[in-house]
Amino acid sequence: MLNKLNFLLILLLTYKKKHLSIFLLSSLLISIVSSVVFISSSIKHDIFHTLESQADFTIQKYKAGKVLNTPTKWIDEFLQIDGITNVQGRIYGTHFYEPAEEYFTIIGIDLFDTQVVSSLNKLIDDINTTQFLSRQNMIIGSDVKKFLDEYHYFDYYNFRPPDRSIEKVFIYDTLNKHSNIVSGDTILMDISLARKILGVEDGYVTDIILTTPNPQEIDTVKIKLRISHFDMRLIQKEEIKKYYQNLYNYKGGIFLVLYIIVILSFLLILYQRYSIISNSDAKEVAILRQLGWQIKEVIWFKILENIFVILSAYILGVSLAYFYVYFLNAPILKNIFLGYSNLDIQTIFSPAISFTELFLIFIFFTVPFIATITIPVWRLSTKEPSEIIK
Amino acid sequence: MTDIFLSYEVSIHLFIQLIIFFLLSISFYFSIIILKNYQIGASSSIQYSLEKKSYLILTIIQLSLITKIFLLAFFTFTIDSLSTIIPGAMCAAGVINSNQFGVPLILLKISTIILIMLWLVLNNQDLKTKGFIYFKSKLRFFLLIYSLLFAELIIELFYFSSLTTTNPVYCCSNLYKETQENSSLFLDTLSLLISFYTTYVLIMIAAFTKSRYLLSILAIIFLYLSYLAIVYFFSAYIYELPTHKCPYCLLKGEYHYIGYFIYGSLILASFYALSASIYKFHISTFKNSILWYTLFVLILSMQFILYIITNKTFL
Amino acid sequence: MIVMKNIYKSFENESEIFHALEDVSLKIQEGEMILIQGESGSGKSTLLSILGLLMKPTSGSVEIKGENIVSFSDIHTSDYRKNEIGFITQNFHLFEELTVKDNLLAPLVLHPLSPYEIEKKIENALTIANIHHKKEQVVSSLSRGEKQRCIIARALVNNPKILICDEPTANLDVKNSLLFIETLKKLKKNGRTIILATHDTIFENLTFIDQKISLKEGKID
Repeated sequence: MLNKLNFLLILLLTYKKKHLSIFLLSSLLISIVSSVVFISSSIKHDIFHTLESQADFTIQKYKAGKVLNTPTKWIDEFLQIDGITNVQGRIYGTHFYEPAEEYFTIIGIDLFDTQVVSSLNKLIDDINTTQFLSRQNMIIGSDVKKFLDEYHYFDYYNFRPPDRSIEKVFIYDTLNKHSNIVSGDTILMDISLARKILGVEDGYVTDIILTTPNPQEIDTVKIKLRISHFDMRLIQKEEIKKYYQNLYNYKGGIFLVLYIIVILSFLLILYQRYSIISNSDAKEVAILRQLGWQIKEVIWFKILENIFVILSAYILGVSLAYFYVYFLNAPILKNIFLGYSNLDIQTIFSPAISFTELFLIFIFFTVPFIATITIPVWRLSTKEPSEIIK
Repeated sequence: MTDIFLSYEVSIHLFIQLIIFFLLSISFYFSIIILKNYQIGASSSIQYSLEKKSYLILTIIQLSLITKIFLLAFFTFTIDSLSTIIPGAMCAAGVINSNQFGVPLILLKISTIILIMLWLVLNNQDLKTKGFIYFKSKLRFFLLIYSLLFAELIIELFYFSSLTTTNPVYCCSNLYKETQENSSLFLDTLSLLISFYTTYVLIMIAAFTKSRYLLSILAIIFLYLSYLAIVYFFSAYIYELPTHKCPYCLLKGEYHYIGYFIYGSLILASFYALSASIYKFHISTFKNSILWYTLFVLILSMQFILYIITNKTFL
Repeated sequence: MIVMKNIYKSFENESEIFHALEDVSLKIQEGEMILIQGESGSGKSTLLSILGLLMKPTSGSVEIKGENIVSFSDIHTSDYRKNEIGFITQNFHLFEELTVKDNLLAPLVLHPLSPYEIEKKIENALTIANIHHKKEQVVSSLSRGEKQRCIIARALVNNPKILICDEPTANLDVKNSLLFIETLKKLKKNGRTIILATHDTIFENLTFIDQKISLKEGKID
């Protein structure tokens, strides 16, 4: 067996040009599909990672199809429900800066309270509270920083709340790029300052989030929450997860359909090319048969030849995709997945590939390929050697 | 319904199955042609052209087998991944049993793989002996396998299209509860274990005395007994939880993928034992049966013994 | 010992049937050299293909050591070819872009040999064929005579009992043809069975030919 492989390698290396076009085309196809899989996988990974630390339930006051500010007294009511450990009112909203037509997301945080959203806890730990609260400070996301720098707001920015006053807020720090997908365009500030700038009246919050640590109790808690108020909207973390999973499955699904169309055309080309039995191919087979190679040995030899080509194309394609997505950050393709939003998203994809996905890409390409060449290879291998050798 | 098809794994799985089936249909077509035209005593050049056609069938079957084995392993991953979006299912068991097509599907998948392996054994015999004795019978055997493959494809399509992401399904602790209504013939684990080990000893005797047909019959009986033994006894010791009786979770990473070794050795052992009926006396068939059955029983028994030793109690 | 009985071979075209061989019978003893003469188109190549188990006759039998190999499956005929037969043809059926040495690998990789044994066999064959000095050269750069010797080396590398030669001197000049005849003589002395088909008259009066057969339009003259 090893001897045959050695001989196969010699033949492959000598007759490289024969396989070059198929090799390049295959690598291209594989790199495109790998890029799509890598991007979607990274996004999903990041989203789920961020979502994990989110609250189990989000409650909003909801009347006549409109979301309204939620009364703070609901917080005490919810604390009475068994199974709920932490309840917090949130203040956040968007601030529209008219001249540049951009939206900022403002999130108010109470620095003295433990956050329901654990990722914020880590952030708060790094802040020197006294220093932060000594004047009006904010922490901005990297996309916000980029925008503010463009308009020369290097140290501070003037907000204009609904009451027509001017609030000068200094830039304390910038959030790092890594958690970009959810908080790239975010501004964090003290909760009372946020309340002022967003114009949320006292006695109200934007919404209420709460945690239910015991997964067995989630359904019961959900029912109790539902019946507590009828002018209320309940969002469950699990539902958000499912929503995103379906969303990215859907987007991935479109690509899948496109890919199937492309690969079918590729297979047609492949079949055509292999069906034309070139003289040199026929001669090669005739020589081997003359020398005593069995038909099934010749068939398998040819199939192995193609497997080598596919394997090399796969390695090249996946490596190219890896470089494209994780080093170049996938220009063009990225926008199709993330959509175009207000601020130019400076996303960094974090490598999150699983073995299953790599296997999927491999099998999705290899099996159709081998299936297509089976009949041409067979036809070639069973040609009468005496016909060719004349 | 359409949610299912938009999961990567399921779409690709079905796509590959369709391709393989398409190739096998070509084999089917050729088999019919060959069987129609084949006559003993026909001129050798006609025989030769038919023989050449049969090589296409052989190649397709060999390729299909390799792909199907990988697909079966991949199928278990796919099913497990679906358990996150099907309510109520906590592992593959729930997903498989969520409609009436799941269990027949798995059974068909495993039997077609074993049958294809047996076909290759028969083909090997045919190619080795002079005179094309098994030529026609191997083609007829393939026609039989093809009908099973067709059934498998149809059932698979029905299975996947019947999966819903809205109706909750049962999980394994519910499915494999020990109640009087169980399909198991045994009312208690002790008689199950006795039957299990006794059949194993009988198999060893049959292999050592090279009784081909006895070995094959015992192999079929032992397959069923093994399934029961794994689900209702051994699995609990692997999961270290008396209520966790599930044949699928063994395949997961948290149990070191031991399921693959267990089921792999069982399938291989059954294959060798069954091939004894087809093969014209080949020593390695018996040797391999002995080897793989022993490995299988050892792996299972070791899990049980190790648990007893470390925890000093039964479940 | 090869016995051909009543061999018929016809090729079917769209509209007509071409009879390449009609009722050909012959016996070849071990160690014999048989010369098959005839013009081109007389069926020599077809006869050789059948003798070399590359083609099946339409009817008739070919017995080798008592067994009728005509009904054998491809595995058996290929194995027989692999172990017992070496081909020397007119058109130098070699892998042009490979070296001489690599061309000799093609038949050897079918056997379970260690790399050392393969090396040894290649060296042996190259020496007998007198082409050892060109072992690392690419075949396309060899002269006609050298290519011929390369083919001989490949035919001999497995130490076959039977050598089938189809117009071996068709593309050679006189000097190389004579060299070839010398080689044949040596090989016959070693006890090999040699079947040679040619219309080259240089072989007419060789002393070491045991049998002469003339083919005309597919029939023995």
